[in-house]
Amino acid sequence: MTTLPARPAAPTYDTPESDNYLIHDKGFLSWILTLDHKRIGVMYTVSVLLSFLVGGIFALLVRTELLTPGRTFIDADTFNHFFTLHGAVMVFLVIIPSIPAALGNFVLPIMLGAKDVAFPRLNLFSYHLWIAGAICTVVSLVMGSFDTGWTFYTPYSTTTSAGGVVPVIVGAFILGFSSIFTGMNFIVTIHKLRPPGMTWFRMPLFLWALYATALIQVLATPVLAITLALVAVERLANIGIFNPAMGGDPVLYQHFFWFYSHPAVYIMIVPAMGIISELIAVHSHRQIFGYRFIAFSSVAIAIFSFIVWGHHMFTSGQSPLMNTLFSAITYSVAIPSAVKIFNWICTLYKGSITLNTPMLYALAFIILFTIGGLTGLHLATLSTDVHLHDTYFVVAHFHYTMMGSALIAMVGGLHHWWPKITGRMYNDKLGMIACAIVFIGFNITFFTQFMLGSHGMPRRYYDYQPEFQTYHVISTIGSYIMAGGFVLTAMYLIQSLVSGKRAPANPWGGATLEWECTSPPPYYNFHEAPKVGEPYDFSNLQWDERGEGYVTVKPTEAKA
Amino acid sequence: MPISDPAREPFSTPQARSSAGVLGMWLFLVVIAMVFVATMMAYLVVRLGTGDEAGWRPEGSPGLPRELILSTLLLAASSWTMQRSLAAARSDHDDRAVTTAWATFALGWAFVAVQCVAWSRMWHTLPLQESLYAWTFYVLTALHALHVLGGLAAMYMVIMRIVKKHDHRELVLGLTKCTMYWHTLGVIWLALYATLWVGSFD
Repeated sequence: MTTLPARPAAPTYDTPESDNYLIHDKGFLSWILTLDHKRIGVMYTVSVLLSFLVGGIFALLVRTELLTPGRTFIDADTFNHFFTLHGAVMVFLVIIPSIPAALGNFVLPIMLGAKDVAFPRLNLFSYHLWIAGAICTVVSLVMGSFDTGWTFYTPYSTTTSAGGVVPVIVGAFILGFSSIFTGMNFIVTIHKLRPPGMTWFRMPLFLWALYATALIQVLATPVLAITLALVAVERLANIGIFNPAMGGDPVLYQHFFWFYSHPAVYIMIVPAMGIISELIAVHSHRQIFGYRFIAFSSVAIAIFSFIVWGHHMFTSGQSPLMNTLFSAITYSVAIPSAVKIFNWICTLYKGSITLNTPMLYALAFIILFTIGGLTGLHLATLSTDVHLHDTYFVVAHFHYTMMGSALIAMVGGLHHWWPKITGRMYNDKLGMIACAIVFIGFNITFFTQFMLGSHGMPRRYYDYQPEFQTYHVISTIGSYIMAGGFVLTAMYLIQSLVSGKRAPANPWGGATLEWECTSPPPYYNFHEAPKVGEPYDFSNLQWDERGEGYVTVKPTEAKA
Repeated sequence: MPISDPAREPFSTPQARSSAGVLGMWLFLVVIAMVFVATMMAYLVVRLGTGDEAGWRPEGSPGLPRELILSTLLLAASSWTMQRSLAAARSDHDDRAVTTAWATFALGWAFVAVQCVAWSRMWHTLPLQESLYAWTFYVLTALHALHVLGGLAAMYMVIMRIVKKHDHRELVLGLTKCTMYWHTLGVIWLALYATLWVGSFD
């Protein structure tokens, strides 16, 4: 670490920035009616994390019930409600909005060098829709909840006696539009608000990922919307095109549902990959390897996402030809995913890696996503999927990708941008310990479930053969460990808000534009138009002891 | 109030804002198109999957109501006036643009009214619960009618804002977006009508 010669324009680190988005306005209304993408992002983040707490509590209740075969502490019907609520809350309220709407909203315009997203009012409306969707879910709970599984499969969802099906379907419908509007906003923002100098290939990879995600949001979500609307109408009118008694087709529902919901898992994973690209490059202080390959692989995954949905339906009576085609196309998704993994590893190679909390999460992501991705191939293979379908193997696989990858990336991204969002540093040691606890707990919980599933334990079952109990107990203990890790995370993050050190503008040495504005950023992001450079060129950044952050130096100074 | 914060305007020029608005409208039309394409696909899958012995149309039930031909003509006429309105706005005839926009608005309501007549005539002989033939007719036409009503509401707001503010640029932009939406609904109606018509043969 070199100490820099005194510079006249050295920023003063002790005094907080006089104008930042957190203190620009005061009062409840100045938040709930704000047009500032940063505040909207923060509100999303808080809402999503609260939902994560709710969904997590349901998960722990489900895992606790599964400690013993038969009844442990709740009856079978309640169990069905709990795992359904866990799934629905985690998918619709947490993971789908977690990265695009929460972190994306905060970061996208600043990274791009824009003042805001293209349609600030629509952005606020999206958030209000999210709230309305969440309220519908609560209404559903009051009206008797729902036990359909998060997939709302017909004919069960149209005939179950649980009273809360229609409100939650309305809620998912509304959340769908929240997601669509966010996607539209991001596409237009990236097309129309790039400042001079910000070419497509100078965009940080997180923005490429958000762009690819937005394409999926806009194209796939409408199909979910109409499907759910048709289910609601069918439930209310007792007739509909998913009703086999009248000549309808329940498998049609599955096709429509997965035409959305398979792309939807890429709505979750593609932005996660974008975050990892940022984390790996910044914290190993090395130019990202294979920029264009990573960028285009995001778009490739978005395109593939629309032609693989049938792999959820290998046992639904689909024709063998369809099965074969869907299986073959599903394999090809492995290619762009592997392209990313290899490029990240190449970036790490000979990088000067800083092992801190965001980096640990990024490394955890690479390991967990590799396990999750490779076990996906077992499920894409027809001959093995027939046996593994609807077992815990599937549960383990999608938790490795949805939670181990998407959510871990979200938490990693939260730690990466936390100093920018809040203007405070958190306790990095505790962060690394919490990350390790989560990682260990996660693997104990879900790796066990691979074994459960391959031994034949069906998913969503309340009761099971005694021979499975050891695995279930291990898995439940793992979930408690993981919960402990997240509680610790919540504690030190909240503590940092109260007594954390003030964050410098650039604590990690990032070269993208958000690190050029102060922490927290000014109300209008940039006091003067930012100079757009290469997003992963770290050569002009040097550690400054006084501010304990990185500062940009001119190339000549850097040599001296 | 922060909700009307003019400094938050992210675009440097009005032209840039307009072109972003048009791109946003295109994306919204893609969303709408996906909704209707999916619905028509669902209809076709179920229609083709229904075996001959079961029958699609119940014995003695009416074919598609004739009123739909009239409503189609009304919608086509409204698309024409909409296009005239946009053309007038682009050639700086703001007053004529507003008049023809009102004509489109009226024709749109006439379309909805005729759809209601068609509905009520069907309802007497063929209730919703009767068969999937009835269900698909009501659901698909209602889905389209709802989008027409949404379009009419938006059109009303656009026209009223123009009448109050006399802003030429806003007039052109507002009418451009209205026209894009309105033509899309017209094309969707033709596709929907054709699908229902083909499907109504026994």
